[in-house]
Amino acid sequence: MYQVHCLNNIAKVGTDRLGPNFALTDDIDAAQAIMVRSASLHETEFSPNLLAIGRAGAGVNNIPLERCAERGVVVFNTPGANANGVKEMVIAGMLLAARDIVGGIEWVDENSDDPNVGKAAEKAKKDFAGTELAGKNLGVIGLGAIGAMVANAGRSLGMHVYGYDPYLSVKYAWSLDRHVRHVSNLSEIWANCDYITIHVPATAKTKGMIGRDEIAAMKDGVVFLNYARDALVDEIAMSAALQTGHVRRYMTDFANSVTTQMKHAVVTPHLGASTKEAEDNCAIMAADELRDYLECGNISNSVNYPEADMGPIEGAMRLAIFHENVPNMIGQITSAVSNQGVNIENMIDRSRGDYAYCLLELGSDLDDSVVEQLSKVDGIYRVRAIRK
Amino acid sequence: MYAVHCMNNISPAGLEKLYQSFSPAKQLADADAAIVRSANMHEIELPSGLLAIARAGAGVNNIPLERCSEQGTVVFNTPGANANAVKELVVAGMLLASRDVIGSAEWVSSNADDENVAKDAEKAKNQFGGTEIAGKTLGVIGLGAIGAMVANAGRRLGMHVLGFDPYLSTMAALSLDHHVHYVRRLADILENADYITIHVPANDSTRGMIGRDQIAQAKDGVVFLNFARDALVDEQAMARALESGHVARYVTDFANPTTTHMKNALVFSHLGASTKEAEANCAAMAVDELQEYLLEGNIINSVNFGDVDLGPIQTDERIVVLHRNIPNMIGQFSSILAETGLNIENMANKRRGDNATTLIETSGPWDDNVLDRISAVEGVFRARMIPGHEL
Repeated sequence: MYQVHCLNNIAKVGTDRLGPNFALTDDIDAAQAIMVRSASLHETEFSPNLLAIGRAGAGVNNIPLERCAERGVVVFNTPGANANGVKEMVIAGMLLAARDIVGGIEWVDENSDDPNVGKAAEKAKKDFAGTELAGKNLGVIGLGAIGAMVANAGRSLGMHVYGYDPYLSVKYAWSLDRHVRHVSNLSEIWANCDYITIHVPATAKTKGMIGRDEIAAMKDGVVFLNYARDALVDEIAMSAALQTGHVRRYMTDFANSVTTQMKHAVVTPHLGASTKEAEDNCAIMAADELRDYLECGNISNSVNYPEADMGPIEGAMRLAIFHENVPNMIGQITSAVSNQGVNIENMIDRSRGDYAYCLLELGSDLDDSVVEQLSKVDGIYRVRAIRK
Repeated sequence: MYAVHCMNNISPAGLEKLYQSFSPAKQLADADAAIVRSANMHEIELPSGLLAIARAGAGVNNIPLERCSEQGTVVFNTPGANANAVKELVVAGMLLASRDVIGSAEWVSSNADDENVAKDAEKAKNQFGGTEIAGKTLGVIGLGAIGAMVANAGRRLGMHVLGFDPYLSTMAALSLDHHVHYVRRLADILENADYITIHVPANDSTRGMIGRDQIAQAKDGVVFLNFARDALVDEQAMARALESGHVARYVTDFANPTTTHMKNALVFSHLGASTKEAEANCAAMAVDELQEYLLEGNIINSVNFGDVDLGPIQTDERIVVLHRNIPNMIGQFSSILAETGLNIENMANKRRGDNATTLIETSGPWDDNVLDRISAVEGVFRARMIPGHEL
């Protein structure tokens, strides 16, 4: 029986999927797995029982990834589970930028006691008029789960869509509307697009990728939408461009001391994933990932260990070994197993940065003493024996 | 060349198109036709020779229809020219009703000077979260130019769509996504939809069609959107349903003392057609309508005479008769033509309300007395002859 501790409220549709081998516990030290949303784990001492952390959501800033990796604790997130939630927010953002609907609503609120408000609105409304999305050019930077959905939505609203993603995967290429024009240079986005939306992770390479020069290369009157990460945009440069009117509107989901003071920005308080459906999807996905890992040793959507998928256990047992990504690890592991006369039926060993994961399917049971012995090998962080 | 007077500024694209076929008339008194947007024409004297008024837009409250009919002035509007503009506003309305984006943006504005606004936002945002529209059921009442576009947009955003329209036209049916589920009863929409949007004209049979009973039939927590006409909805009943929470949100484009005081209503400032594109489309469509009518006698999208369209003139001449919709008119016209020795090659007649249009193509030796005799028939407002021309 695996014990799971929920640090935040996790939707029941998610925890229900853990299945009969799981129980929820209030004792974090007894738990093999933690499910978490936004609670910070940076100050948390982990018990030796802890095997995995499922983050119901995309960002993992609240989890000490390095510390987890060194202890052989797999951290999962749920990319794409909130994709539709974000997509709908981006559409709303584009529509709110195209016409000043917000200003119009505020005007109505301020004039709610005017008995002739209807007539007055006819005169006032030209201040809030604007343009349509249909027929305009939309540039999508990053065509992952979210970007691909946004690109398709743009198409279905009658926009011409340019997509940029040097790392486009087959999966998302497959899902893209065939009229999305794939460009290999960002300058094509800057030169052509009336609306530009960014959907890439914040990494050392992408931080500040929308800087002064990029903004200057964009069309006059462009609308820029950022529902990904604030660090992607040089906000000082964006402020300046909004001030001159070169950028007509900045729609961002990130409130901070710079964005809240921007002219012509509509700032929302990080609502991209704030839908019931996204929460449910995240919880479901996190639960599925934890279950597959704890019951079978399979890893999908980890942020600190590589993917490994052998499907359900077919042999006698599985051995899951977390080790340093250095030479001669696999040799030591396999000889320890074959010395016992146990056959390796299936094996995956993959690395991710400094860390590697080795999953072995064995034809017969391996004595626990061997497991114990393996876990003491230099460079091995953890060994798990998983029996059906 | 016919002279056209613009009562309001119209879009440059429309203007350019207009003066390809017509000359500008500085004053209405010198004009054969007028283009108008919102200028009020009720108090204005209309020259007796005014053949047509084209309203670049849908509503014609600013035009004295009765007076125009009586003197044989055809009034046109431009239905559907703003369809995409309205569609996009309906999509925005659904999204704003699903998550409190507006409330959240206001929260950010009022916390703009908070140094820890990012952190505080993570706590505050719970109150603004909501649901998604994908996977929900959208009910569309009225599948004309706008309703059909809204239904298709709903499908493409992943919604299940139910459409209701007892008068569904072939053109609208052709444009509908095949997965829009056509229902025969309004009740099917009310009982099943999470979002209900209405796109029908306001007339005696539709006014108040969303009343207390219809609202009661709708699902608990339904979102209602009205970007058509305020009169379609019994707003007192809607206010009560919002108060009780039975209707989660009412999104309306019509500000009035009732809607502005509703709980959980999002009241827009009548922005449905307020886009540059819609204005340009309306102007272009109005010019097209004037061209068809002045140069060919065809009537498309009139609000006071029946629509007739015989295509380009094929014979020596075409006669346009605007008249009351009373018996024996066509008989009288054809007798006059027969007595003059003119043969009728083609004829179309269409009524609209109390009035009707008759279009007759003739061949044979023309006699100017024909128009005088037809005009003299009791109930005829105006008779006009357009000579055939090179195609």
